[in-house]
Amino acid sequence: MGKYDKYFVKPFDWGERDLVHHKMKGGVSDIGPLHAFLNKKMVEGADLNVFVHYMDIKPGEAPDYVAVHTHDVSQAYVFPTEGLKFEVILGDEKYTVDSPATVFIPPGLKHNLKMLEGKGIEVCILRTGWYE
Amino acid sequence: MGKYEKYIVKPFDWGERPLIGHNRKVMNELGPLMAFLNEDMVKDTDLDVFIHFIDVKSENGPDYVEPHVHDFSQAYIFPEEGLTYEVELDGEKYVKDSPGTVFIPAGVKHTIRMIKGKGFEVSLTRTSKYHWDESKS
Repeated sequence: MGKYDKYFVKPFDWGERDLVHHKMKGGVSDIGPLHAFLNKKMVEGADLNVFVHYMDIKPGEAPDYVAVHTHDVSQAYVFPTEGLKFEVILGDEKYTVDSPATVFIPPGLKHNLKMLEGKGIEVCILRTGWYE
Repeated sequence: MGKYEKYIVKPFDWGERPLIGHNRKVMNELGPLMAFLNEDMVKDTDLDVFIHFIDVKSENGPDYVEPHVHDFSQAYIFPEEGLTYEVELDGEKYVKDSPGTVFIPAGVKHTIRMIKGKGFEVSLTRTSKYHWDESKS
């Protein structure tokens, strides 16, 4: 084991652990597993927080799982591939978007996200070491 | 158009555009590099995101980026199974299988190479524009 082995980590299923502003059971977890890929508890000194949500949403079955909220740091939702439709609230505006796409959320901007239908992944990036 | 529509962007193929220190021709032979976020796409951003859709066809994969240093941290995220990659951090080599994450603190010299498999790599940097600290590379 080299001195930099600590910078290589395996993701794990966040399961039903709390996530501030989010409803896990009956919400996030119902549309697919949320895996933690990076945070300051996985890698000491990490100043990025990354989750990947693997989703499969049937039309009409999309739950509300996150309240409108803000962060002190910026955030990005990245949808790498085709196949998902989502609704995002930014401030007092609502947008419906098809993947692939990126949504950037500057610090202090009220936002939330609702997945409408489809199958694919979301990479959620927060510019700090812990989701708060 | 709402005032926040500027924060929702579509990715585009980086194509033949240069990327400092990277051999773009070799990268494109592995698969398309798509820009998902940078300061040219979203003026206010302080994150830079590329996704490389990779299919390693040659044995042991090609080299395409020299060891280099940033003055900001970076993470490589491999969300799905199927890729084997080699990362060098300050001269130490590690071979890993996806899914996985590599965190690169600011100031650590690094390079990456795909060895085999198929999948995608999400490269995140904690800045608005990908650049090198050339004084230390």
